[in-house]
Amino acid sequence: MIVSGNELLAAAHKAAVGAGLPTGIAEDVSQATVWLCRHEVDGVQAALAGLANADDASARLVPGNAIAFADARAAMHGPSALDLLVAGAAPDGVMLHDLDSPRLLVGLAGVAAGLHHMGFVIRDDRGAACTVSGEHLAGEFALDPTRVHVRIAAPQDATPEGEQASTGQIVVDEIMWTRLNEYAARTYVAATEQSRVSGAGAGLTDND
Amino acid sequence: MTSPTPRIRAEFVAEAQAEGRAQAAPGEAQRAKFGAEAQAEGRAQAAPGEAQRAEFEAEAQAEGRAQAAPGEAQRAEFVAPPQTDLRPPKTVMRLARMGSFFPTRLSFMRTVIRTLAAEGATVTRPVWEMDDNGFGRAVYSVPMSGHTYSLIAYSNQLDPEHRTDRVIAEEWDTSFVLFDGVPTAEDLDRIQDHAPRQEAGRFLSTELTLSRANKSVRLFEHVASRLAEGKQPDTEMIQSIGYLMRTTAVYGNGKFGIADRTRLTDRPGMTNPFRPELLTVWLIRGFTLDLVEHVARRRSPETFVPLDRHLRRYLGIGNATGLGMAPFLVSHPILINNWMMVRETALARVRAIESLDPSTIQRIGVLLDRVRLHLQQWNVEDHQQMNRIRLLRQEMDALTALTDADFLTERWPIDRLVSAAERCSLECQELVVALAMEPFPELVDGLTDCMGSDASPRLDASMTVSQLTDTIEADWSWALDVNFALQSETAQFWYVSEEKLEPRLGSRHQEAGAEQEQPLDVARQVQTLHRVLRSESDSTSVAAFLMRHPQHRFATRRVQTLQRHPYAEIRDNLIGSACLPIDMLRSKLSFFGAAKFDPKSDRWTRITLYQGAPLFDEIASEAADDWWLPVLAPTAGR
Repeated sequence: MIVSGNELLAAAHKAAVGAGLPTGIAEDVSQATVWLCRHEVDGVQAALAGLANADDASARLVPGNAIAFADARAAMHGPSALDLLVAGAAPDGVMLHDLDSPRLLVGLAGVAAGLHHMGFVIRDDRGAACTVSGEHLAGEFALDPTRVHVRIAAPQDATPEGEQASTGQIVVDEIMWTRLNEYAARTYVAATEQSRVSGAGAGLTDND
Repeated sequence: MTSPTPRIRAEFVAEAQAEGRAQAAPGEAQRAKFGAEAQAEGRAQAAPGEAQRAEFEAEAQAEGRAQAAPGEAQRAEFVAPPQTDLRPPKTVMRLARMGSFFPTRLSFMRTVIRTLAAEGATVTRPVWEMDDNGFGRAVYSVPMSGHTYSLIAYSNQLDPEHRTDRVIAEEWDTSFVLFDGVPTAEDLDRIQDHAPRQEAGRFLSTELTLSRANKSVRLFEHVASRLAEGKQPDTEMIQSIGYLMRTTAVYGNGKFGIADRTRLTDRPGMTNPFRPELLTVWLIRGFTLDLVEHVARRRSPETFVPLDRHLRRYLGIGNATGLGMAPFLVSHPILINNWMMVRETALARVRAIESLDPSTIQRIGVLLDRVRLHLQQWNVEDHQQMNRIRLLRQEMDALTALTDADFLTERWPIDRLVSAAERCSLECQELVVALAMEPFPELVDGLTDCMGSDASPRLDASMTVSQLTDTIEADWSWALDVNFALQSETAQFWYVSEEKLEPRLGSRHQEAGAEQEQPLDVARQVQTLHRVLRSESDSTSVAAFLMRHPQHRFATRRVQTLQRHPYAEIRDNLIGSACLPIDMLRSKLSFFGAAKFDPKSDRWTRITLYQGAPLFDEIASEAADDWWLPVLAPTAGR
């Protein structure tokens, strides 16, 4: 089905909150979802892959010199990895082991690249790579259900290349869209008579 | 008398020093758009004064990149209009004051009309398929800045039992779409399957807005009957109601599949905030006038008379606005900052006017007379608002008496007028602010190009815990001072009902559902963040802090956004028992240009839009922009 970007942003935000993510993380995840769809990557599927275990994700840093997350969750650890790169605190990049949704990480990097005027390179342990720079995306990253090890870095020489964002229509799979909205529905409060009568405009006639 | 500037500036600088920073500066979008405005005005960048320019540069340096503002050469040519310092955010961004705002010449409806008037736009009606009872469909088309936009209107019979202005309604008297271009018959048929169902329909990106309206049953029928009888409607009834229909929603920006705002981002004439939505409402207003005359004419073609032009012009579009509008002010901090910053900049510019010419003095006298008549004609059932209006009438009478010829011929007249109003109610103060801007289009109107923003708040992960703590203590004392241990300070929670996703406000200590609370508890979250930061090492980066405390990402970003955009945050506790949503609604509606606020409770209000605005055939007239604060002339319709 065809959805608008803003419609997708709102649904993904609510879905992320409904899945148990903090509001600030949900903001990032929803923008990443739209960013991916604007680059003709299935952002909804990537988001859903990242939301599946969203409520079980405290940062687990691997001991050692390099910064590395164990059992990494793109939704929770992706923003942290990008924060470290943006802050210049991870000059050698960040490792995310057993990452659940590599594509969602790409989307998060895309949003961060635009906000901070930076570029990011993301590689997995099987040789796939993506470069994200500003509005551009180059490379293909499979959504891997078996999870992969990923390194994300912010090289100084990441230059704009690849596909620019599309402003056209966004086509989403209806089954995926339904699943996203099932998460979103968790943020709604059940209707009761008490809540209905306390709503704005309740109890008045509008036949005036 | 001496210039007001040193006094105001001294106060502001003292405050800025107390807050540990320089004067408030606009953010990203504003820098770029101040430049756009400057180009439009044929001069260099229209940025605020030196302090603000310094902060532009400081911010740019902090961002580690070149400043987005014009370069050195342009700054050398730049002649900024004089201005006093801005009223500080801690004064402006309070709910009680925001709930006292009035429309100004910055308001978005005014800019819609100015754009149409400047282009001499002509509205056409290529489709009018209405039966004798006024049910059917119509299309109105209007060119704007090189593109044509069309209002598609569907009018249906509605059982009175189903007529409700609430979001939970499922049927309406009329439904509307603003179409990008001129629709074909196929488009009309397709949209007719969806528009009357509103939220249950699906739309395409050729549709720019979706709206619906219900009749004011009393007035619509009264006007139709009178015109059919060859008589004009009762003037008092026109005055007391003021509209034939009221909209209950005007959806834009991608809702239900309609076009994203980004479709229009680069399109001339459509970049201002809420431009498509408010163009829609102006066209709907014209449709309601045509519809009532159509019904009257079909009832009795022999005796029908058209509606008196003065009455036509006085009829606007009603609107019922509830809680759904309030969260917008919280979820769009940079946009709100820009609206407020521009409003305050406009005020600062007119306060810096040293002297007035005779024609401007005369103009102010005319406007003061209009204010008094408008206030006389503004009557509501709500006791609290009616008391405010009564007080306002007295205060404006006193101020009018004060502003005799001598007062206005002395130096710094506008600044002294605004200062004199500071002894009055908030409502009076803000009415004078709106009045003060009205006679000075050359200082104010260009600023409207600075009111939009598509920027997203940005997290500065390199900031240290120490810096973040200092920022909170400098900018958020109003939040740190709230005692959230008191039940009264957490009395309310904002939520979305599963029932048609209606936004609602619950009583936390009496109702279930608080675990699904919407994040309007900004003050509480920042206070919690501040407490947690105390146990962190000063040198820890925000990146490292948020890695361990991701639940504070939202509050951290809010704090950093406010540092860059000082008018971005309402400085009140929005979950406390003292928070009145009506204040948030009025603030936003005033930016739309709404008047005649008619509160029906503390959480929803009726208003009128485009009352007094030019009609379709008046858009090119010289007076097209002169409709601030609508009034009905005592002789209208007689």
